[in-house]
Amino acid sequence: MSSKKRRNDVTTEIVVGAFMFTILMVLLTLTVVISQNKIWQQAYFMEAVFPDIGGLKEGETVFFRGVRIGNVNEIRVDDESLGVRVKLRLTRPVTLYPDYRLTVEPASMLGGMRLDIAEGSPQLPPIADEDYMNLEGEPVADLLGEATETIQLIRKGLVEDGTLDNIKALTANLRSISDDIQQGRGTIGKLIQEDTLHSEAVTLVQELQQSADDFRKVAENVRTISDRLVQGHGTLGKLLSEDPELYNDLTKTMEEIRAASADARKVMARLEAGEGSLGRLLSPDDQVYEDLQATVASLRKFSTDLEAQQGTIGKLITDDEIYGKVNDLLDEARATLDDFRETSPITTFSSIFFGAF
Amino acid sequence: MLNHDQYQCPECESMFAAWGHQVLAFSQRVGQAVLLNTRALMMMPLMFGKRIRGEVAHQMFLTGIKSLPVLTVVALFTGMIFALQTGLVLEDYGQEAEVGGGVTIVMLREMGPFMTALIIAASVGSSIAAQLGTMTVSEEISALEIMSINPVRFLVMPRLVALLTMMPLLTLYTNVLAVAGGAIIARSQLGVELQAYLDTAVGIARNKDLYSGLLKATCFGYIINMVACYQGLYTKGGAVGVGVATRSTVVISFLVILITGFILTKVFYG
Repeated sequence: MSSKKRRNDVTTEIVVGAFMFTILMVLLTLTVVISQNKIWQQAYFMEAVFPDIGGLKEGETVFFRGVRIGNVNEIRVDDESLGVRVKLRLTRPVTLYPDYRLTVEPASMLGGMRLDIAEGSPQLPPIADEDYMNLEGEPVADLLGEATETIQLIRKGLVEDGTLDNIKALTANLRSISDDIQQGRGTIGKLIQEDTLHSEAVTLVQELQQSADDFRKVAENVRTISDRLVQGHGTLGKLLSEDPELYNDLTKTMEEIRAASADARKVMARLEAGEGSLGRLLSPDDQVYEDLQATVASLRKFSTDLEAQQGTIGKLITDDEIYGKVNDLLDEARATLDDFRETSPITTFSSIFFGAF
Repeated sequence: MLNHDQYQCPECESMFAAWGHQVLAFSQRVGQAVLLNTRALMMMPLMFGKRIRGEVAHQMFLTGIKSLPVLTVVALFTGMIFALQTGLVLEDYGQEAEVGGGVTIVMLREMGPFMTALIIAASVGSSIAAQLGTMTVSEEISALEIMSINPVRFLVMPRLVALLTMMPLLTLYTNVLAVAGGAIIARSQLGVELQAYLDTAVGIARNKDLYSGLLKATCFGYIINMVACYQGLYTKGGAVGVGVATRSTVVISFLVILITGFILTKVFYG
């Protein structure tokens, strides 16, 4: 055998060996991946007895809170419990409480089943360790039966309870309404079929546009005012600005108000102490009040007497005769005074003359 | 030594008698092929011999390494086509994310071994038939027998070992590439994320699917070798006979692979 042929043979053997080794490694990897068992990962087992597993198969997935945590490891018919014992291989421990639920459910619309674990209420004490190998699963929901029952209920409601007739009547009404609308009858029909409302709508839109313009102007005014405020124009602007003059004025005013308030407080204190005329009047001592009341009573009696024509002044006010007499008296008095005024120079002269003697 | 005596169908006047003789002739050919391959199988412990070992490695190289380019293309496009077809149907039900599972299951169980067997039967099987047929018609086989070299040990057994070894490996290679091709289509055409595709692919597959497919591929390798070596070693009629043997190898291999595939599927999943 030539050395060249030998080299070719060695090359061939190396290539074939490398290919075989590579493919065998792929096979080993696939075997591990497909079996979904991590070689060095610890496994946790639990067993449950179901009355019916609904076609669940070994290898199908186990979900806990919606997360895949393991597989169905073994399924065997259990004659002792008249059920099916299912052994689960989990990748993590699960704590179950007395109201736990193990259910077999469809995995997808295309078929297949999965096993769901609901842990129960954590407020309750967890189940004992030995119970994990004798759990109770729930029977598979009869979806087809439930669907049939639902359909029967719907049919009963539609046919026997008259719902179908109502729907027919409703449909007829809807058809009538749609015909009316199509023919332009009624508000909605006119809304759809006639242009009047469209014109009004256009007008409304125009008015809205006008309002929008007004609003825009208002906004501009507001912007102008705010600009003035920002720039410190006007009283409010000055108030908002950092100009100290107005602030000082306000401070001074406040001080004056505070002084006036103090004075008022003093007056109030004096009033409360019953000092001064008003204080005495407001004081809890009733003497002033009683004096005032007696005065008012005397005045009332006086006015009553006046009104009742009692006394001289009362008669003077109300009796016309006395008025006439008084009037006459006044006339006579005036005449007497006139006479006296006319005779007074003579009298005066006589007095002076005779007085000298 | 090979028995080249063929059952001669006598002149029969009766149609049923002619059919009977045809059945006998067919049975003899099947028996010769099975016995030929069985003898090669029995000689497999000798494959580590110094002289044979090189031939075995050479046949493995021809069967395995030389077939990789065509298998790569076929596997990729098979997976892509299957993913596209099933994905479009599943998309109508909003279940396109499940396409990975569909591609993986079909390739592992059936299409992987089947497609690989067809490619190997058409390329390697026809090559074996043509090579052995040419040696037969040029009386090289007779020369070997005269030199007391067993043609079964020297010619058939290395090819059998190569096919039995390489068929499952090539099938695994086909499966992996087909699933990868399906992933390309799932991502680009169906909008399925790679992780979701792999999750469904791995989630739905079982080791039984993988190993039943590999076992099926091994059976197909045995069938291809049996048909090809028999057709080659029993070639008659010169160059024309070689052509007939080559064509017969491909046709018969296809038919036997199909029928055997159905039977094995029924055994594994029936």
